[in-house]
Amino acid sequence: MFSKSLKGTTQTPELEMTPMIDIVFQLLAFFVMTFRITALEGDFNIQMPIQSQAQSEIEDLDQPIVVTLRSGVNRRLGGIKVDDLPEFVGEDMFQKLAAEIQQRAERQRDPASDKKLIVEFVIDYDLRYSETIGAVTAVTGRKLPTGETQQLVDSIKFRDQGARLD
Amino acid sequence: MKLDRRQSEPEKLDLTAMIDMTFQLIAFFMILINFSEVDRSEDIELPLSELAKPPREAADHEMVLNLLPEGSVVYSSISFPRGDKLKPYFERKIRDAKREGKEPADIRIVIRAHEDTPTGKVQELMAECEKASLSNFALRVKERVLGAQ
Repeated sequence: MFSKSLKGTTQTPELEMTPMIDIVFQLLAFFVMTFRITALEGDFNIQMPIQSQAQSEIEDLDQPIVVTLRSGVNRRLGGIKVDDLPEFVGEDMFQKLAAEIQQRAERQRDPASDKKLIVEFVIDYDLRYSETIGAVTAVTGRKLPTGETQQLVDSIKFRDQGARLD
Repeated sequence: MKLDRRQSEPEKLDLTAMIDMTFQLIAFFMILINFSEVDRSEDIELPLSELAKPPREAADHEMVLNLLPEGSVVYSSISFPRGDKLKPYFERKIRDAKREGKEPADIRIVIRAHEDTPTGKVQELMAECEKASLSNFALRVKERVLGAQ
């Protein structure tokens, strides 16, 4: 209706696209330049003594499994001790640790029992953090072929301050 | 020779398809842009774990502490030589949380430590947080992609 002039001739209104395209391309350039592909990051939740004091008394009665990590050559993992068992050494330490924790988890998976499986780490001060995370991964659970994670322990704690285990 | 008058008119370019595609690209990059990277220190190489899972929900109160191998801490792009220098920041965070009716234990301390850091230094930083009644920790790791080293 508005496009018709009084004389009856038809005129389509011209929309100025240039500024919009300019802005759109500037936005696009900004997003392309600031875009970075980063690897997925995840968390392991750790409880420290303050929080555990505030928890229920039932949990306090659960005896934690004490896992001791000893530093070896080049601050790599030298050995893993689970409670009073002989120390695990060698290439397959993490697998042995995971198997031991899984065995205990299965023993405690009694539906009648409300006992919680708690792992407490005692870690050599100098041990590389990557080795600690390897041990935390081993006790946390395992990846099932379906891609899901089977949780082994209910809670992980660190004993206060890194110990010198020489 | 007489030229056809119609040929002298400028040819119109149909911009619709290009604009459609450009807006889609902008939407794609806008969705993927990650502003949380301000908390991340470039110097930190996180340890790998195949069980790394991104947190299901973001914590209301969170502090991301980047720990370098020599023990210095980077928080909000500010570098501190030791963890004890963060005490005023802990106190401020606790005050902010209390204003919203939250307890110090509700504040999540995310530790992004370099893979070569001595674990004792990580525990020292945790001890500094505990002195300020902060006890809810998350150790951040990078996802180990299956088949990669």
